[in-house]
Amino acid sequence: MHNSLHYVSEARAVIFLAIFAGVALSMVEATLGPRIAENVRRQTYDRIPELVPGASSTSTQEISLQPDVGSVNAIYAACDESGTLTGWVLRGQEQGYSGPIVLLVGVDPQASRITGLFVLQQTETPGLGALITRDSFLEQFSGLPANTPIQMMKHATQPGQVQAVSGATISSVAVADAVNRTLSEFRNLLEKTDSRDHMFEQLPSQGEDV
Amino acid sequence: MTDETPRAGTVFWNGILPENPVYRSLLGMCPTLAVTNNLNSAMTMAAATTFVLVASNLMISLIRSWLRPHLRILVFTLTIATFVTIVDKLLAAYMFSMSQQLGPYIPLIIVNCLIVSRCEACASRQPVSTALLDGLGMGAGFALALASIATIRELLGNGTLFGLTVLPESWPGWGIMVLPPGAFLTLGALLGLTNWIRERRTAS
Amino acid sequence: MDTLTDLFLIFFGAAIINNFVLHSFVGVCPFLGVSTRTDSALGMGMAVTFVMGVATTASWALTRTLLRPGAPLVAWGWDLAGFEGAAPDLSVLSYIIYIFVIAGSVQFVEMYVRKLFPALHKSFGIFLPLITTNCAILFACLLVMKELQGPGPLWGLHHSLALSLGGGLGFTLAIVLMAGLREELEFCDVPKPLKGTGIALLVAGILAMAFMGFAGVDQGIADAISSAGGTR
Repeated sequence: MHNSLHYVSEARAVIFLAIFAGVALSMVEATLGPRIAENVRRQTYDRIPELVPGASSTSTQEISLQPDVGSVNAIYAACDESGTLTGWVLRGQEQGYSGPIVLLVGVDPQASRITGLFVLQQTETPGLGALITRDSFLEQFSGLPANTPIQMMKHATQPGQVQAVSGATISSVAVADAVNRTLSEFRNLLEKTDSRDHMFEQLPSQGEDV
Repeated sequence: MTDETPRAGTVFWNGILPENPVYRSLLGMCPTLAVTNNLNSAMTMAAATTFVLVASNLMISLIRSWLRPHLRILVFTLTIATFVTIVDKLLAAYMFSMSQQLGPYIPLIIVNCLIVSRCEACASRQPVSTALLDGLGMGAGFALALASIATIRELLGNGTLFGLTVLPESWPGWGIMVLPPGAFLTLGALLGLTNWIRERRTAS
Repeated sequence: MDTLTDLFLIFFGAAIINNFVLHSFVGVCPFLGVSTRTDSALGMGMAVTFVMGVATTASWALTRTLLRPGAPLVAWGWDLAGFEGAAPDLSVLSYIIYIFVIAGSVQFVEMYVRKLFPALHKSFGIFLPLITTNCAILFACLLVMKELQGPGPLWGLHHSLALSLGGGLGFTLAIVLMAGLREELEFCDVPKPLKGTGIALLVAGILAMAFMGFAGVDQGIADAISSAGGTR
């Protein structure tokens, strides 16, 4: 009897701290958890109005994917305030120079034109590859057709070509590859009837049939 | 190390220069090198570390009569891990983009030798007020060390301080400074400099 | 073919491209402290690799089953107890659990190495207790945690082993290189303020620059593998 009580009193500090940790952390999780989840959500959703003109981040919703869709990590149906589909936003990923590059591509409802591009995550070289996040580079993609592969060039001369960031060819090409791959996979999804229906079923309201 | 309670001012100042955690004791290297490529991250990291340091010091000092020699590392670790989780969640909730930028380095505060060594050397033996001042002083010293490195790296690497352009456009920007090698080189150079200054002081 | 390419990328990435010491800045304390002689450096590197393998395996298992949102064991226990609503997310306990897993792994590795491989224990046994505060192990656990909580496919045991072995061997490579360089430095005329850690840091900076040259190599090799073998 004395022995087991003795052990408990020896471990007083540990027991107290374990209880303290349990209480403190569950309080933290309860109060801050929802806020953090909201921050994560907003990282993507706040970008929607820039990527698809006219869309509102509150009416946009994520479409759940069938498994095995390769480069397309996530699909968002960008709707305007009244719930009409104004475009799609796709999240895609490609290996860049020093790590994965995750980006968001906005397209019109028929997936025929790119409406916007935003780099969500990258770990490229600061001052070189990291410049792919600059507006001056990303703006070049707006308005380009989504049905032909984009060509990344050192010196863009023709329409449909994009000027790479000077000194950061690999990072720029990775962006182009990510966009091309994501768009072609998405267009495949739109063309196949069953995946298309699966996506459209999840929309809040249906405008005209696209 | 005697157990008499030192004077408050001495305790606080101790952590800033005489026993600066980075330059004198070479503790807490990992975050020092990792987050000092710009001043914003460096100062956020310093603030987070100071929070954990002060909170852990306070807690350990409060329960110091319950500490047993064979369990004390366990106790220190549990305390530090709890407060690091709290600060990590706070950052993710209120400074999300900074939390993303700092990434895994915030939870690495748990294994920052600085905090465990202060708990051991000070908080487990001294009353709450002393432990508090020691935590604040060491935190300030740590912040000073991080700031010195980050200023050099950001200024030479980007021409900015806290993200605001300071150097003229013509500054080419020494990219290497904001990359990993720059961290090692800057810390090495500054360490040499502080050693040299101290040599001169003791010689004269 | 695909999995093999993934595993290779993870291994090579952790070992060389994003070397734990020279790129991610973890494990710098032992790197600077134990790199004065090549044999002790090798011992430290091996000890770190062993412990990293054990610790990441244990934390992978715990995170996959308990410590992530939607963890299967938690959901099952919740339903079994008859509670309503969604099962709680225990990921807030992650850091505490990891640090104890690491401490436990160090004990575990030390016990078994002492019993089963006494010769090995002689060569790196003394470093084992030092490893508990080694950032590199916790860093590896955190990387695995990120993959298990984020979007994208969940990492299997093979992925986390590739990461921990890559990380540990990369650490070993860096620390042994550093030891070789520092042994040479002993014969050089180092200025007094820089003696010891100062010059070691400057040398580490140059070593880090050398490793930067590997950026992009993993992608090139992966492309070569996949064009020679299956599809990507």
